[in-house]
Amino acid sequence: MALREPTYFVLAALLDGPLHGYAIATRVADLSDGRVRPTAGTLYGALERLRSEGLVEIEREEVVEGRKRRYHRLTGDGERVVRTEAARLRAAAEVVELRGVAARGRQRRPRPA
Amino acid sequence: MSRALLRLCLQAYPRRRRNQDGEVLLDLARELVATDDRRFAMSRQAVGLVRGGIAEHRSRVLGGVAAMPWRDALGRLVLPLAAANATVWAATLGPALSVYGGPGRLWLVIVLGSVVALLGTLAGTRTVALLGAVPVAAAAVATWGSFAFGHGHVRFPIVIGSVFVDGSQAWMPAALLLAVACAAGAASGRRPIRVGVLALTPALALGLSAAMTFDRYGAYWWVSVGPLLAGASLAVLGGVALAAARRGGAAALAAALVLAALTPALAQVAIRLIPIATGGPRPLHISLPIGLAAVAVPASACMLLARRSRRWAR
Repeated sequence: MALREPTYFVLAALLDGPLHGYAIATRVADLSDGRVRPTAGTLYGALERLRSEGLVEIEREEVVEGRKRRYHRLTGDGERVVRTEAARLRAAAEVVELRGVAARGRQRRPRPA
Repeated sequence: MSRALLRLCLQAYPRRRRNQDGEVLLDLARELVATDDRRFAMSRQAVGLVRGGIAEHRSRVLGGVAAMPWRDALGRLVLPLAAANATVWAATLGPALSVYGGPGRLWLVIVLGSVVALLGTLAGTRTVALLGAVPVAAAAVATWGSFAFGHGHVRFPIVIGSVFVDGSQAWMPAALLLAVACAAGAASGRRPIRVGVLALTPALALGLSAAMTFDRYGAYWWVSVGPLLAGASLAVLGGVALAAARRGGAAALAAALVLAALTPALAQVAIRLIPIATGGPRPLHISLPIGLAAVAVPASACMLLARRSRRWAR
């Protein structure tokens, strides 16, 4: 089943290694060119759901400057799911891109006399 | 101020979640506010926390229901349904006392049955729950059928065009579902007292306020009870349908229930030339096909969709 866009970017953010909530939120915003900017509630809900599905797990908790931070990392299943989704999106994009090339080729071809 | 607002919004989460993860969530929200240069950053995070909390409550109550085998799903739904049923009928106390000069026998059966079903569900006693739920379902079916076969009165009217539709008829599928759920899953153990108080509060609050203000019905009961009944029914069934559609679970049941709730109103509006339930009985050659159609449409839709739903067939 296709992943929702915020879930996809959360999983993609965690491909680089374990991150805490704030780092995930900023990484998601960067990766999506600012299109997806999850709130704390949305991000937390998504992480909880991914954790219950076994795609993400908690690595550790620590307190930095009085702030409690919880680090999450991808599981093997999580990495497989996000890579499968990326391949699916790539294949879907190719359908359109190849058609674009073919259409441009037809336009350039000279008409028979 | 911002910290206080975010902490207040955090209250939307269930207590256990707040105790477990509240500080992590608050710190995350505060960091996101501090580094977000857009306008309304604070209100975005506040709304996000409230939405997250509501979603968490919803998933705790209904989570996975659509993906469960139907017997388990009904067992999970039984308490929310019993509470909703008692609340809906408590809301009708106002017009029952003020407009009709006292509750009728059918109304009494429904209200008492609703209370007994809720108490039986809370106590985890299947016999008591069924004892309450079955008369409610029977009375609801009788009300639903009366527009075609009998000469029932439109007690809780909704006016659609020039047609009076009885809002209580829309509750019939929910009442049936409650009876089936009581039979399937009510005896799953006694609920904690806190859950019991939460389940009883809406019905008690509405019933008491109706009893106290019924003599000023026109002034206070500005929400007509007919649309309220139909709206509550569609909200409950629509919620089930939405959950089922999103998870691909028991969509057949949910779709059929919504259709069954809508059918009486649609049928009545469609045959607007025939005066519905305004007095004496209608001739059999008119009422029989209408009644059969009203029952047949949701029934056939249910069968059709059930064949497509592997989970429901399991």
